[in-house]
Amino acid sequence: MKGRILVVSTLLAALGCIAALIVIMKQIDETRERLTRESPGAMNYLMQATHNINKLADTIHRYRYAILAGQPADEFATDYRETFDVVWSSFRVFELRFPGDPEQQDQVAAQTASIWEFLRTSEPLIAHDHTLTPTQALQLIDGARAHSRQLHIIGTRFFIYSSVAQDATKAHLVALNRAFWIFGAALFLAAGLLIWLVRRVTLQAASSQDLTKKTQREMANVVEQLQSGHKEKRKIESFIAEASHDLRQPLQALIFLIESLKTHVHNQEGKQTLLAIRQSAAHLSKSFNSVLDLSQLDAGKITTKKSTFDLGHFLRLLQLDYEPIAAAENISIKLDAEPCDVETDPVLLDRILRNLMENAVKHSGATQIALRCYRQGNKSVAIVLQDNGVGIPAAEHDNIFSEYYQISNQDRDRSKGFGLGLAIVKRLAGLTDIDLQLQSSAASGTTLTLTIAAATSQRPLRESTSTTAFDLSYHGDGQLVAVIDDQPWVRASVEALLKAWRFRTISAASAEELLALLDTGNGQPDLIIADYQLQRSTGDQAIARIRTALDQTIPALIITGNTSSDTLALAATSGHPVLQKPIEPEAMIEAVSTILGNPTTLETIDQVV
Amino acid sequence: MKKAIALLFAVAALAVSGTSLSKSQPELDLSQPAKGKVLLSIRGDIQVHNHNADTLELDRDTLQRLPRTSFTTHTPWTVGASTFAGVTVRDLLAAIGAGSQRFKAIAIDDYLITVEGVDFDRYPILIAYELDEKPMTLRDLGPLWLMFPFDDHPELSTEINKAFSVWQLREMEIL
Repeated sequence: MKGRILVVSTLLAALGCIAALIVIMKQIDETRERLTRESPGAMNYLMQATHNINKLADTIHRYRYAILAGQPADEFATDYRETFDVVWSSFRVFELRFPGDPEQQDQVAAQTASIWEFLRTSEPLIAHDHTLTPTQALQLIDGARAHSRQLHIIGTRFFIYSSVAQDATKAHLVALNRAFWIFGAALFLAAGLLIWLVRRVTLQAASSQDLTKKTQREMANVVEQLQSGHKEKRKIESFIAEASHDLRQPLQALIFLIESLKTHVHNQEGKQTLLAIRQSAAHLSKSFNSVLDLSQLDAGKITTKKSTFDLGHFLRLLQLDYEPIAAAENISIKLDAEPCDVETDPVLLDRILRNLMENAVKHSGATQIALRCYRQGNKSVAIVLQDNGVGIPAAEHDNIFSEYYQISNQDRDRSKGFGLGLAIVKRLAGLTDIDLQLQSSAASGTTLTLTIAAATSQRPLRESTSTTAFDLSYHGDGQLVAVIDDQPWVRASVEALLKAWRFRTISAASAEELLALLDTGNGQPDLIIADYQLQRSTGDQAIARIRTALDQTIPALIITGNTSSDTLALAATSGHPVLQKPIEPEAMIEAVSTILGNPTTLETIDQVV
Repeated sequence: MKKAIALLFAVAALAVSGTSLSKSQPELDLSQPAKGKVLLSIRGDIQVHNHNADTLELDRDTLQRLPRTSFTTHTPWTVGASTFAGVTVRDLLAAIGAGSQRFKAIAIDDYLITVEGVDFDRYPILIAYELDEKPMTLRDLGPLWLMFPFDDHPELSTEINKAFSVWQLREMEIL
């Protein structure tokens, strides 16, 4: 603001200087003109006029002499007549060029009037048709001489006046000259100041513009990051990785503890309660797995293992699994499956189909679900899952595959799942090259079509067991399993489970602690189960330490609750089988039985109990 | 050499002007004595004479038969714009075979000035014999007036050029 006032006032000063200079220049011009007018140059005309009037007197004088001497006087007459005209003209020019001021003019005016009077009264005598008498000639000579003196006086006065006027004008000119330089210098200063101010303002503007641009760039960066969801996604990922580790441990313990409880519950009421607890725990585990599946899918941690199997049989098992749940919701499941071999990852396909099935049962509001499969030429097989439910509006088709989205579950009934199912399906389908098509309208329910590559090779004799629900119990036969985990309750749960399977167990928080326990006479362990993330070392380091101390390559298994890919990769490089928490009891027993090379005995839990 | 070229130009100029006048009037011969009243006597470095073997006397008729030029201008000695007509100094000097463009000018009122440093080739400076299409009288500062085209060429409005503007011109002496 202050700067602006300064700029404006400087600008005004500069304009003022320019205006003053224009006025001064004009004045100088006028004064110069006046100087010329007032110059004694007019004296020349006066001198000429005086000379001419004297010459008139002379010519008339010569004429008079000739007359008086009786000589021819015509030539002299022509002379004085001509000279009279010259006098007339010169006097007129003098009058025209005489610049006097009014005061001066008054005095000169009287004298010039007198001269004009003389010239006019003389004119008839000078005329061609008049012959001057000697007396008249003498009269004219006297008049001419008298006016010559008059002109002389005018000349003197004019000279004095002119000198004074010239001095005044010259002084004026000097003053104007000085003013010109002063205003010129002022204009120069104002212009300089103005240029400096404008430059400064421009520089300031430029720097502030730079700052603005920088801020804008930073803002754009942040906005871009926010828009791409980069930050959010990273936060979510790291949160899930952390949360999963924290949640897996107690969840694992809970499942193992429930499993171990079975051997101690004997009355009917207790068994029913335990069953309910198991179901709840199973549900909790499944929901948790859904979340982890998604995070792992996003993290690219799931790899496919393709195998060839009969899809018809596969779907029958699925139908059998879901029939009880569907029946509870008054839904009938119809299966129409011809035997046909496909080549894909059975585990991932199972997850896809179970997700879709659950969706159909829980969210579609259908009364009938049809599950079909048929060949499409030689190369592909189609699985069609059709329900007669409420359908999905076309506008929602894209949304239903995004995370945490449920159409008919606005109030988010958590018992029906978190809405992660279809997001997982979409990712799994992409991973296994299964084409997933959705056809749905509010009127005719939903039809999902999965296209899978048909088998190119012969089907293996043995079916994959991964889709078969385990319900087994393993007989440890008193073998000793050493458990290393820095969390006491995890140790306790694993021990409880293993004991239920008739193992002997020994547990410790670290390798050193375990070795100390073994020294007290527990014998050698047949298997080491170690958590990957121990307080002072990694699981494989602990295993190596024990092996070295006992000088024996004891079989080992690593369990981990960390989902971060780095940890998993590191655990995998250790060469030991790795199980990720939460571990289903079945998975645990399968792994243990595989390592110990004992045949698994299929029995029902009830038989064990 | 210079004189010869000047003469050649003069003859050429006369030949050109003569073609249009030859039908009604006899060819202009400056060496013939002036018939009318002498308005201008020229002496000095000239090639053509018609009086006393060293002087060229020109009357109004002869002057008017030389190439005519006119212009309108303001002057310090007249009121309002005036139209002057006459022969340019360049044409006159060429016609009489003048050896230079430097000359003394003498007026009837005995005013005398040496005219020099004027570019007569570039500017149509007149020996004017008509003011507003009428012959000038003595009282009009005539009959001949050395006149500069002040209005057409403002750069000519110098004090010395005003001093060169000899009115009532009577004699020229080419130097």
